[in-house]
Amino acid sequence: MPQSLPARILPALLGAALLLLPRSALALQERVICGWTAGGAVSETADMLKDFQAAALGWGYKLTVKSDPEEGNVVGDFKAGRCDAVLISGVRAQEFNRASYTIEAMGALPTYDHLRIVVKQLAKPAAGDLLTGDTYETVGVYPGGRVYIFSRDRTWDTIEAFSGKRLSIIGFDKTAQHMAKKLGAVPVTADIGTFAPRFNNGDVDICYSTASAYQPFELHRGLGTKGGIVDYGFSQFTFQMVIKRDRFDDAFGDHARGFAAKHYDDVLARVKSFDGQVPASAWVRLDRSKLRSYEEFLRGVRVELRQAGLYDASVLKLMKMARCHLDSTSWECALGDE
Amino acid sequence: MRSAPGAAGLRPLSLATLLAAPLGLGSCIEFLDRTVVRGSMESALGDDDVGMSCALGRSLTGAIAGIGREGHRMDRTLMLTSLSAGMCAEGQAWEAELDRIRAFEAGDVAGMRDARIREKRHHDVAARRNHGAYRYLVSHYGDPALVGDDGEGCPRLRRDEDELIWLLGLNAGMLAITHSGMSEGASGVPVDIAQHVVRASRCVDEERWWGLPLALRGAIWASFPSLTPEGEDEPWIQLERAAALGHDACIRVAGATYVFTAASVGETERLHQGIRDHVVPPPEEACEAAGQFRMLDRYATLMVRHESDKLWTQAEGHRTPFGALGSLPLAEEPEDDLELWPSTPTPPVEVDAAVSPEVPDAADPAAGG
Repeated sequence: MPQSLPARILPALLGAALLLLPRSALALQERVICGWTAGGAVSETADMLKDFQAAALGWGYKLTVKSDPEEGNVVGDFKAGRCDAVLISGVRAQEFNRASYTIEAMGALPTYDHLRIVVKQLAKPAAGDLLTGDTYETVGVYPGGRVYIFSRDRTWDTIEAFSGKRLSIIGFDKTAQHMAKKLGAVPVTADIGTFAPRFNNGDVDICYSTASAYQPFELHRGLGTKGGIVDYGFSQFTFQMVIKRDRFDDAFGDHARGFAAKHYDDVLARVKSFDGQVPASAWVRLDRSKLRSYEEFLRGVRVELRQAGLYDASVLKLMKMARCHLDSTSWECALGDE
Repeated sequence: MRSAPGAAGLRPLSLATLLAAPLGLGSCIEFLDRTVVRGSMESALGDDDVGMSCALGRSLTGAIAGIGREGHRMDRTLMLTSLSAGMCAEGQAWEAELDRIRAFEAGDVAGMRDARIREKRHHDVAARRNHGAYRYLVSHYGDPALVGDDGEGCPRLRRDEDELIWLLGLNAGMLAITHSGMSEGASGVPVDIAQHVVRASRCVDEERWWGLPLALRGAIWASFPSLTPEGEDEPWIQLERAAALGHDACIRVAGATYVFTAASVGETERLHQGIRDHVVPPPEEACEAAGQFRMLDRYATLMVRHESDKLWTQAEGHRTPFGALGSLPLAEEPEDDLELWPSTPTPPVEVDAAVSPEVPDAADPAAGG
């Protein structure tokens, strides 16, 4: 039945009026995001959260930010339902999403260019399913810095040299336990608060960390005059945003991942400044043969951890594609078991 | 090591240079530096007009930096003027922060982003000025990094004025890290200053200096719990003790540090308590004795007022009502479980107005900076 003119144009007028309304007049969904902010309001994650808060307004979400310098508290609050979303380290995120944690797989992304490719690929809507579980979804991956090996003796720069050394590992990180075993190192359980004092006072011989810990934890004390930092990206430390799916609409994940990809280089600039704070004399450069032995060893670790169900096969494959995209002549590109 | 922050201009014709010809440059500059610093101690710090101090610092730093040359410069004066100039930028960053919160509450995306950008710009300026102040401290007294865990390696702080400048310089270092962190680290302030401040704060007595050395350590450890050495008290215990010392001395910078830290790490109840505690009047005799340092206490009030303003703006859209510092917006007040109504409707119990608490007017309308 043909409609009268007013009946036809009324919905259009209402729609136009709705578009003209300021965002404040539309109902915003109120949610709580909890962030691990070591350093409180002055940390880079606090900065990220404020910027994210502004972006989320545009997607119809009013996010109240709650900061805590203790990461365990943030995770506890998330599980207890006091937060709808969290910004935490990738290591902590492994219990919520195996695929996004796999980005931190050992030796998989040796440079920030590799990580950039993966973050941008995972921001595409087609990758949404990979990052979405029954309850949780990872909606953003931000660079936190390359993870380096800090040793109290700079001559310990080969894989074989780790054997018998006391290696500090994060207690809840199962992949680190596996790696220590494979290296023949003596694992010494620590957390983000205790690894540096133990390294500095000689309780452990080797620890791994991003360069961002170098100044605040004064790791030069542990390095002394003999120690060194191996200039090789053992893994990528990341900050990951995880949400409870039932608290957000389906589009939120794509918006948030797109935001993370768009701001990758902004966050990276700060991360790189931490790398730049390490004095040139502290770095231990690897020659080609040592580099190859690191790559082969860590590739073996990744395959084993995939078989053990700790790493996600699809993300490992994506990261290998990124490596071979940047260096198609690499020895591993002809191999098909990763 | 006496590394020099950039200094330029006025050098050839400066008064100091003219005076220096017969007297010797080094001793003349030293004399000027000492005179200005003592003058500041005796008068400027006793004036509670923070806005005036910030304007003075902003206008004088460049000119004073041009007097003398590396190794013979008015470093201590420059530390004070740079620190004061930092307060101007800090005040502007605070205003932008309130604008951001207001835009967020109104759902104004563009307004929020714009305010955020302004906030970062001002924090960046504040970081650079405070870092400059810290470097003048390093230039005059030596690097606080050289102080060991148990206080060995402290510089020789001969007079009270040296101790105070040392402490204010360390505070400038902490402010530099704070503002740098809030502006994406653009100013490149090295974060190991925090650990240096922790150790160097032990060079001065915490009770003599209103709990501020203790507050600096507590603030760092509450923000980075993993940096707290074994055997130390829990950071919040230290901060509470520091705040009490400052309150009793009527110079409440430690209490303001407590409030800022609580806001920074999301300790809401402590934040509320710190704001309420700030308006409890300190002992009168202490305030009379502390008149010489009224500026510092006034700055502490502005810091606390800003944290209060954030809460009010978030809840009500406006800052703390005039003269009402110490009160919290309704949304932040604990629920009132007092029940004066009987089960059957009768006229309400009359409450004697004389016993209802009056909030003292601790907030000065003059917004410093």
